[in-house]
Amino acid sequence: MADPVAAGVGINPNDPLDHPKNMVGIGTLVPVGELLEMAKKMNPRLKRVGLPWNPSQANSEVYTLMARDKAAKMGLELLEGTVDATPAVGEVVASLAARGADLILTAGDLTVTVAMDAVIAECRRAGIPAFATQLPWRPKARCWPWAPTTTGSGAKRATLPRVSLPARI
Amino acid sequence: MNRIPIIYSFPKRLVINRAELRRLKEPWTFPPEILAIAKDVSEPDAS
Repeated sequence: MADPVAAGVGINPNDPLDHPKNMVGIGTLVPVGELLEMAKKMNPRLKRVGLPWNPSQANSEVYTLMARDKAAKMGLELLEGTVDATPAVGEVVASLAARGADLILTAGDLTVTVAMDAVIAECRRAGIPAFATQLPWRPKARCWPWAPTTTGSGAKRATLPRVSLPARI
Repeated sequence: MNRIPIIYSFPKRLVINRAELRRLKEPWTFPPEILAIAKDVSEPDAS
């Protein structure tokens, strides 16, 4: 889980060891800001970042707040597209591309993550790259032991840098 | 109570696909510092 505190699982924000006794797991909040910095290095003309996300997901909201903060500091325009269900992801990404997004950022949103094939397809159609903070689809299972699901060989087709945090329990 | 050690720093893994750069309308490039640490999942015959 990206941010156990934001998700409200009962963990003490001041002491991660203070949590319900029946709870195990890890926090995997990934560095969205670093990904945006990397994108800027890859394309200094970067101006607009498209972010599809589901506001009903606490972790996704955390990532979005991080992206808003970093984008503002970098002088980037963050184009947000909200999705309420996976089938809508492709349409939202296409809309973001039509609004002028120079790249699409997916940041730990499960609704978007499971539709990564649609994200990649729309990015390809628009000629823009996709950046992701996790690896829901993987070239080989041995590389991404924590990946929750796979949707085929997307990693071979995506144009993206992705930052992954392998699980350690 | 025994406490399980917690790792607060996780290794990052960066994956790129250089073969896809040609499809992009903007001039995206991978700087050397990214290429130095990234795993390229491009296939030789990727089109």
